[in-house]
Amino acid sequence: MANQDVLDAAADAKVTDARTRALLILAGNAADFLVPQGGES
Amino acid sequence: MPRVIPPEVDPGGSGGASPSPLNPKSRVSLLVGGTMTKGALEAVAGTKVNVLNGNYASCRADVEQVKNILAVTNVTSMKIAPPVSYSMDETAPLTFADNIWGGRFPGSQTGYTGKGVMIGIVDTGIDLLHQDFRKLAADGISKGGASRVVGGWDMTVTPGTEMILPTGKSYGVEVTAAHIAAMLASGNQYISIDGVWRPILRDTIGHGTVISGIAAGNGTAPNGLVPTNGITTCNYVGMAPEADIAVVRLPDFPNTANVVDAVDFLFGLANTRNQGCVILLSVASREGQHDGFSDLDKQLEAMVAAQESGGHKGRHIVASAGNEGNSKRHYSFTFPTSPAGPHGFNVYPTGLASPNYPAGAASDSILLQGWVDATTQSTVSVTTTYMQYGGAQSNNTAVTATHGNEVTQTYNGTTVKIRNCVEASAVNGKRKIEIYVTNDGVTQTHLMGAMGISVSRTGGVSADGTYDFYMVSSIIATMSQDKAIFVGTNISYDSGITSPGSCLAALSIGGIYSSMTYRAADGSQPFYNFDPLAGMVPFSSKGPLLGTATIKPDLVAPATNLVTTMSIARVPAMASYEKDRDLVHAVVDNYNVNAGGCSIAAAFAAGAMALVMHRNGRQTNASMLTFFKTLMKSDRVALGDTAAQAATPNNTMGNGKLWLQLIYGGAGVDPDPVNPPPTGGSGGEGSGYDPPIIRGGSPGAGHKWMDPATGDVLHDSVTEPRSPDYVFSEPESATPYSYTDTISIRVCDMGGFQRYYADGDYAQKDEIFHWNGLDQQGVALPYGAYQVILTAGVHSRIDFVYFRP
Repeated sequence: MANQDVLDAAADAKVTDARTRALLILAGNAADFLVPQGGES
Repeated sequence: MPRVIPPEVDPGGSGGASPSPLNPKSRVSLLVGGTMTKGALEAVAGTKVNVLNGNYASCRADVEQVKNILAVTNVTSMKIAPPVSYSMDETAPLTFADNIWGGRFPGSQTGYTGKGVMIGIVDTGIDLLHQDFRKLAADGISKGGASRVVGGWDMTVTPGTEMILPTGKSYGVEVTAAHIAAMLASGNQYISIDGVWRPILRDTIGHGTVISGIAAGNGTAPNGLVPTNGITTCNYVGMAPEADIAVVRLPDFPNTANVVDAVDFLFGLANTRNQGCVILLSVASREGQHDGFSDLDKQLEAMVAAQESGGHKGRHIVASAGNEGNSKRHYSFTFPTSPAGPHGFNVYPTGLASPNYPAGAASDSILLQGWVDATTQSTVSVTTTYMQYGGAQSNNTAVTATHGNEVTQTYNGTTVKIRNCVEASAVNGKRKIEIYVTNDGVTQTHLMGAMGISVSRTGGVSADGTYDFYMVSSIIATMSQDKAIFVGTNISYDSGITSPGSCLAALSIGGIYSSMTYRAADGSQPFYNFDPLAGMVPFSSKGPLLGTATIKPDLVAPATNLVTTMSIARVPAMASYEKDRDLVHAVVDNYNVNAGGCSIAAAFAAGAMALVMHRNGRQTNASMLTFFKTLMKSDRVALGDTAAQAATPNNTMGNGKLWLQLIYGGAGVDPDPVNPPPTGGSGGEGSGYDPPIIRGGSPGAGHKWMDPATGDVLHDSVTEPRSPDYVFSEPESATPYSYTDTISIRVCDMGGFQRYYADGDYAQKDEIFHWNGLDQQGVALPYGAYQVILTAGVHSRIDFVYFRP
């Protein structure tokens, strides 16, 4: 199921670069699972 | 000590060719713009602010919370921090195996060694156990002393009981002097955290160790100081052999926010330690306007300014200019009238022939940014053959965005997004056209890579209608990164300075061949030549800053064929060297380990800046930049320029070649107007700032030695093979100097090994030092280049001679 909050963020006028918008769209449509992030608290 | 890798280890630093695709739970680095508060940002669940400075914040946050971050009061912009890469040279071959620069700059022989200054390395880590980054033992000669690395931050390691987050930061672990001492004692670069051995600052790529060795290696590997012919010698000495070193190990896929966080951490460490600090940034981002106004550039500028307004002088950044000088990642064209076009050009992955592209990975992507003046209006079309439609030409429909609009089209698992001057406001007079192509998190049967772009000017009146497109990033997992280039008739090699080399607060450094180059002037015989432009390496990024008259790079320094420190973790096949890592010095060239690139050129300058701080104390960043651009450079007339040429810096070599002679004083020049030198009257060391006494051949003149009184050429090693006379002069009474100092003359090969040595108290008059090309034992040395290092007291200078048959 798409994450509408993330898709909304992708369309926010404060987000002005194509890469961030595209990444957010992809993330919003991606499966919602945890990816281990090395070094993250 | 034999190295024993602990049984349970996290190898670290592995990574794949591409980062993982994002999902709502992913943690991302964000650059947030606006006058928001830290508290307001951190009120958003899971959000951690690592740096808040002026109108910028660097955060870590969950993707699913980005919407809430955008809603924070006074947040005006947000982006996922774009990637940075290391400024390694990709293309230049090692031209002369024997043409190696041993790092024997005068700095290591003058008493100015960078002592008390901290050099911050923001890179792939460092080989902590390398003797070059350790002090000597208590006897002052033997190897094996304490580490010179005073602290650091490993961004890749998960904190736990034994190692914790750096203060105020939300990821990675702070590396203390105690941690480093423990690793040296154990003989390996791991620390057990909650029962799992983790690599700490371990450099599996090698880049960080390479640049650290140039900037600050002390040359005491492998055997400490070795008495030879009455003096102690060592091997490949870096620029600032006694500087303290602090290291930030970046993540496997570093981004601009990581760089911002690292600089903030290092400035903070310098504040805590009350030291002057120069941070070496041999990383590169092509994101942004290439005019000093990118997010990274402006944030670094703000951080330096904040340090100074907080009372901290001696906060400097030295950055690689980048390796874009011949990279085909800048495409520039101008429409003389409006409307005009279309103008078409292509993007193509290098090294592969269509259509034999391998499959694309899940997170492959290509980002282009185009910059155009504020009023020009355009229509932009993108065609993605072989990528968007899996190679089916018949489906090859263009995605088109008209002026002021954003268009997104997804087909067959690939998304194309075009944003064509959507924002009404310009930054530094320019507006942005962006094209982003990415796979949708699934492996494709076709390669990311080939695409066509078409631009038509549809309206607006402007000064020139010039479009500048940059290949910001290309992540193609089946290839190494950054392999996509432009193809077309308007490839530009200018205005290619990468960020942070384009930062106005940074000293940006381009690359030249290792101090000298060989050029066949008459087509028959190569000879030794110092022509400054002939000496430029082709990959060194050129200025000016885009759309401006601002000259970059600021200076140039050696960037090829360098022998420097190598990380033992870099090459698994070299495990046999683990028990004596210092041997890797001898084989570094055999492995071609990152031995070229503007990274290294920047490392020279960073070390040089530590020497200047050692000598002159701390000063403002503006003062330091001016000092380097006006004084820490060679006399370009001596290098072959006309006086008119030399009077104006250019966008290839900036103000000239990094040259440190004036650190030791110069005629009529006080190199430190802030802290004037003591005046010791006429004569004696008290005056301290008299010109160097060595006046034979002008700096870098190479093969010609001149009479210092008349300027007549006494010897030309080109026309008179063998046996050059090295001529120098004691100063006249007008330039007082202590004549009681022992003067030594050493001849070293270009690897830094001493071959001949002479010293004595020379009289106050011109002297001629004869060296006939024999070593100390009277054996004829091979033809080639040699360094002549003349030292008198704290003064020193270096020149080069070249024999040819």
